[in-house]
Amino acid sequence: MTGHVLVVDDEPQFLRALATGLRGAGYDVATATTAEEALAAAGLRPPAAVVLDLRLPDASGTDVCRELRTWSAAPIVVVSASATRTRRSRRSTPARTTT
Amino acid sequence: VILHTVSHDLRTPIATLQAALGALEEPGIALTPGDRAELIATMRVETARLARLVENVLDLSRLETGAAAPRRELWSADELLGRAAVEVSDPARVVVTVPADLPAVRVDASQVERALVNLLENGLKFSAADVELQAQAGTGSVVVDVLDRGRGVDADPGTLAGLGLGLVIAHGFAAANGCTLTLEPREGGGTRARLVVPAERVPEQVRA
Repeated sequence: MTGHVLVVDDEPQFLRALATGLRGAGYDVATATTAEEALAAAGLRPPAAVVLDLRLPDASGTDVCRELRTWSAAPIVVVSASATRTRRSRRSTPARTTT
Repeated sequence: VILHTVSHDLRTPIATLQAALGALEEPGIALTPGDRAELIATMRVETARLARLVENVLDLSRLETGAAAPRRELWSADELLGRAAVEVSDPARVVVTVPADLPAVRVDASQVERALVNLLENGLKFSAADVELQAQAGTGSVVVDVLDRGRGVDADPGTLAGLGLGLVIAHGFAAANGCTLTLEPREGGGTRARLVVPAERVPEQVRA
C-alpha cells in the first residue's frame, strides 16, 4: 500500500514515532507541528490521508479539519492524546461529520 | 483541573510509547536499523518522561495530604539554583545568570528545587531556544526568573486552569515555602516565570 500521508501533531516524539511507523508500512509521509505548517504542507502536496492532532499550538485541529474540507476529500484521522472520555465524544463530532 | 491536567500529561507519553511499540512489533512494517534505533531512543525518552510525571503525581499527592511539610534550612540562593539547573533533562540548554552577592534563603531545598526544575522543564518543553535562569536580589527577597521563548502562557492569570502538572506542583511547593510564583508573557515572546523567595534576613511580617 502506498500513498502520501500528512501527519500533524505538536508532540515531536509522537510525531516521529508515528511517521517512522507509517513510512515503514510503505506510506510517503510529510509532517507538520502547527496548523499553519499543516495547511501549507497540504497545499503544497495534497495528501491522500491526514492524521491530525486536535490540540495544536496555533489553532485547533478542528479548524484545520474544516479548512482542509473546503478543498480536499482526503480521509482525516483525528488523534488526541489530551482527550478524556467526555471531551472525546463531544469533540469528535464535528471531525466525524467533515471526514 | 488537576485530573484533566494529569490525564493529558500522562496520555501523551503513553500514546508515543504505543505508536513506537506498534511500529516495532507490526510485522507488516519494514524498518531500517536506524528507524529501530530511533524508535527505541524515543521510547527511552518517553519512559523517562513518564517516570518524572509519576514523581510529580506523588509530589502532588503529598502536597494535598499535607505530607509535604517543608523542612526549611538555610541555603545560599546560587547553590539552590545551581542544583536545579543540572537536575533538568537537558542541562546544556539552561543558561544560568546569578550574581555572587545574593542573600541566603531558608527553604526546603528539595521542594524549591523541584519547583524550579518543573519551571525549567516547562520552558525547555515549549521553547526551541535555550531557557534562561536568572536571579537578582529583591526587596527582602531573591527574585528568580525562568525565561523561555515558547508559546507563552495559556493560563488565565491568577488561576491554575490550563497549567501543566509540573506548574501546578511548582505552585504548590512555592506556596508551601512562602514563595510566590507568577507566570507572565515575556517581552519579545515566550514566558517569564517569576519565583520570589523570601530572603533569610527579613522578618516574617515584612514579607510581601
